[in-house]
Amino acid sequence: MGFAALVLAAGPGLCQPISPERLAEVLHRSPVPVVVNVWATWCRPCVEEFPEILAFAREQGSRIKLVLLSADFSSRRELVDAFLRQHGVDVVTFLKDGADEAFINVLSPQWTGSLPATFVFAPGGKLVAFFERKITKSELEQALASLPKSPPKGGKP
Amino acid sequence: MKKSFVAFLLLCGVVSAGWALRPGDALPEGVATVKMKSVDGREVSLKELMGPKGLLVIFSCNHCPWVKAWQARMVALGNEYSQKGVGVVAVNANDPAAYPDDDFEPMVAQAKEHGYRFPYVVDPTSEVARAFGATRTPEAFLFDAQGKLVYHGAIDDNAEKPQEVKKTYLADALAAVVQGTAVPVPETKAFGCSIKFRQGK
Repeated sequence: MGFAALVLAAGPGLCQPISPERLAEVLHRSPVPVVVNVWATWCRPCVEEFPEILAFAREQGSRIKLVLLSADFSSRRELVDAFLRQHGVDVVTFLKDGADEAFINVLSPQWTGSLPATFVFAPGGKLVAFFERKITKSELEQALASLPKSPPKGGKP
Repeated sequence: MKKSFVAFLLLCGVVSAGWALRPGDALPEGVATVKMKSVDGREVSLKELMGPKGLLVIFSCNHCPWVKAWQARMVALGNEYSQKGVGVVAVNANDPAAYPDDDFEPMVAQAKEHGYRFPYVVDPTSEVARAFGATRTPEAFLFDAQGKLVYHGAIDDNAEKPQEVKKTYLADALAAVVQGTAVPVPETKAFGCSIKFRQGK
């Protein structure tokens, strides 16, 4: 399944705690563009855009890595898992574990911290697009299309 | 190619996002006299609310879980410092059409339930929030007695667990403003609910 390849590791738990340092590593080490969506179960625009983001990731398959980062409180982990199951997310996602500000600075110092927020990083970890609002699948497609093509694949489409 | 890429960045906000008042900036004149209805029925402006020691403006609302988590701490600070010469106001800029919980009647109920002893007002066109560059709730802006911004950001560094707070940013900033000393950390960030701006005015 292409979608399974998007994630960092498969596992029984749907959302796992992640530190800001580990998130930074994920961004820097990925050989493919990384799309990070910061969301929360209690955030209505996040919930509204969630299916768009999943549809985008399913279509892109292994061409990108999707990182779903929940900003829910740790006490709500079960609700987060239930939400992910309800949306058919069968892969590992993350729950923020650490100070908000550290996560904000890893993703973009330009970000004020309001949710939802979605970030597109080129391979190597350079931020190339950032949306501090609800987005659509086609906006994500445009953001991805604007990325310079990676050297091994080469050439223009 | 380069040009279109820059245009694209502008389009999706990489370049333009993040504008807000910075420490040292003045209270925005354009909105300082905007009359805002408070939960007690009075119409007040930021200019009128400025205290002898300064003014604390917190963009807030009813529905947001981060506001709920921080609420007791926000109210304690607001009540304390409004007795110490700092004008304090919570401003709800959300469009209640989007969130009925953020309408006026629920605001009155919330202020009563949580013992607000400072105004909790409606930003009737969201223009006050726009003029500050506020984006989320809760988000604090503290001005000194001269009307210069001295602190912008979070209430503290742990919304979820009050007992695990290590950095009491807003409390420290308020203490400094009352003492007339420099604010130790003038800018901080935290997660929050996006402000649901009213459209089309």
